[in-house]
Amino acid sequence: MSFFIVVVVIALYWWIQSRRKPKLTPYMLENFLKITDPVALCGKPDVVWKTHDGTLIVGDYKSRENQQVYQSEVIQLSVYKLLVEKTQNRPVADYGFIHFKNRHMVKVQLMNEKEIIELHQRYWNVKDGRIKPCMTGTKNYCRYCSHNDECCNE
Amino acid sequence: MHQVSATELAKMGKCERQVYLDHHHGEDTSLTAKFIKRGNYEHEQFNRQLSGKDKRCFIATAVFGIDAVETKILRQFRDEHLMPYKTGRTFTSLYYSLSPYIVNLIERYPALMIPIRTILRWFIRSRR
Repeated sequence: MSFFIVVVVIALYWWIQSRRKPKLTPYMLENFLKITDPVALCGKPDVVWKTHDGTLIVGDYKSRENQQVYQSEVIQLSVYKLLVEKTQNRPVADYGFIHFKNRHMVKVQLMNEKEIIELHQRYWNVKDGRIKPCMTGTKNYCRYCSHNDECCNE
Repeated sequence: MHQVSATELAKMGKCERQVYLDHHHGEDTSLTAKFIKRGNYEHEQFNRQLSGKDKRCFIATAVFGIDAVETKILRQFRDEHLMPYKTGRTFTSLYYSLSPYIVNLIERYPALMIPIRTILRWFIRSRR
């Protein structure tokens, strides 16, 4: 009798789940996008999700299980958001998702357009040597940097 | 102005000095090549899962064959009824971690194929 109840509960749960509409559906997978206005940027978001109401949400896959979100990932996802916003005529959420190897996903608040433009300008200033670049705060990152020797000498 | 990629701009969040040195001394990816290669492979897997091109369906493949109608129906069921939901994805993930062992058992004891085939066929018929 108890076995029968378990089977009925599982079947009912399955039926309810199959009738529920999916919350997110993939809208775009690894499509190359580029813009020239307000700044020249390009990128290939791993996934762009579409919600029930048509809002798009950018997502990026990280092949690690540790769920810490780094500043570089927030920047990357924010650029994707701006690219999607400027190329698709649909509303884009001001947050994105980082998907990890263990299938967990973390919601991340993204930078706005003004902040990305400022960062883009800073990028060119750093690259052209007009401003002194900041160093990483994580010494562990230097272990895999090919400029380790030059950096210590400067 | 030259187009900046999202990955390139993201380096500003790691180390600005690296951005400067990469530009002036060139970028050497030999130290990170292994991580890049593994990352590319896993990105491809992620993409295949989302696009429904993931052909894994271990038990059905072992019982019916890789391109059998039954295997295709079960893959379709996975993509349409399991992958869109969190519980479905957890179930699929659990299934993928267990099924290689079940396939090993089937290979060792082919008689197991008969009840498994019967159950899967019953399940497929009930979905129609």
